[in-house]
Amino acid sequence: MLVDGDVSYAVRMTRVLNRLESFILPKIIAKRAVKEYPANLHLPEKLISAAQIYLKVATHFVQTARA
Amino acid sequence: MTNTYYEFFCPVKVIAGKAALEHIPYELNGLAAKRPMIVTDKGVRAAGLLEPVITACEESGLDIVSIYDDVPPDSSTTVVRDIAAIYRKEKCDSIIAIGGGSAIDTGKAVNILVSEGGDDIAKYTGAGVLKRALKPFFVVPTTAGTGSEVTSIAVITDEKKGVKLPFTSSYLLPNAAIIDPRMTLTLPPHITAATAMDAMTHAIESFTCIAKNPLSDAYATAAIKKVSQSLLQVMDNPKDSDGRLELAQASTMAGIAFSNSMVGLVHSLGHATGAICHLPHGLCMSLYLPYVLEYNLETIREPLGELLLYLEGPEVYAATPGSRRAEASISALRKLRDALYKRCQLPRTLKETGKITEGQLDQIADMAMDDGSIMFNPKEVTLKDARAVLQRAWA
Repeated sequence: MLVDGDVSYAVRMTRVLNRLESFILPKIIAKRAVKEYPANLHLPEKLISAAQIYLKVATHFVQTARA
Repeated sequence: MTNTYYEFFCPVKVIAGKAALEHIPYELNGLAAKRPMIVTDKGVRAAGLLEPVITACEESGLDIVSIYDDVPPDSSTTVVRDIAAIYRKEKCDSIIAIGGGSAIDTGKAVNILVSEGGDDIAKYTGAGVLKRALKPFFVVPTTAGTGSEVTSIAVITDEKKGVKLPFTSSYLLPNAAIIDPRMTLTLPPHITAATAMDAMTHAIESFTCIAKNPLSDAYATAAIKKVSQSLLQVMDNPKDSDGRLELAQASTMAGIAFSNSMVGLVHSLGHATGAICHLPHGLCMSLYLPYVLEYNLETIREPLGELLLYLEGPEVYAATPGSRRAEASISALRKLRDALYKRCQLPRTLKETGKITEGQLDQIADMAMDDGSIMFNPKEVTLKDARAVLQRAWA
């Protein structure tokens, strides 16, 4: 990973990306992708969050394709 | 914990030994440098540490063209610009930085300006900006801890904006690092202790954090062994030049190790504490080291257990059951800190420093969470975790 700019923002962004991966990837894969899979992330919250994220990605994809 | 892919880079020629300073003219000649400039601070000059360097150069018919001895503890863009102006006025062709972290970082930054041109060092901040080799540059460390002589980074304060500017490039590395025990013989006990603990922390974090690799491991373990064997000897007999050389080499080896595998939470907390409470970096490292290792314990049990061999020697290692070695390593470090406290009152807790209030711990934890080195800590640190480690280190 290369950082161009303020390192402290990159640290926060990495934390956000780790959280995102924990939400959208199956636990078995996410555990390999992030340093530590969040112990307090249970299935209902994970499924709801993942569904919201995938829905937003799909919506943006459709909007972009139409534009 | 071993990475399947890693890179390791250290092209710095290390010249170490009791007559290392006398080799400086030969190294300068080898790079066709005839008009060197010395960059240092007033403390180094007052301690008479420039004399052997100047004498060595004079005996080889090489004149030191200019000496700048006013580098402050926290070097700034203005200082760098002023030194570059003197360098150009005196038509110097090389730089010898003599001192601790600040003098060395200043030397690196001056080398950027005099090689690349211009007066604004801020233009070159960041990683990968420099594209070609700089002027001949030599470093003579006068403390045994920072490892700056083998790291490719410099940090300079921009006074106007009130921010610290990082410069990262392999071109910042000196052509040679000259490690001579004469340069650290007069180091006061508390600085000897704090800087050695800085080197110890570089080595331990490089061995236990997530970017560790087999080559940095080799340097780290050798550095830990040298500090463990020599630090208390030097504290008891400050004029022990063999011991001083061991500590200076340990510092360089730890520097090579951590610049190729990074550091973790001890440094995140230490950087934040240094910025907020203005405590010396080495002292912060010594303060936080055992508490952070305890926090990371279950993630680093295996590598930390291995370090017992280098901290306490083969007899203790063999006599300690494998399941207890990690805890024994932490105990060895606590024992070392107690011994240092007894000899020079090097604080073991934040409260003992007398310069921090308990109310500042939240601010330190907040700032530590944004420090780059936290990404290499083996455990994912939360704000609550950082606060808990600080609370344990408080008293």
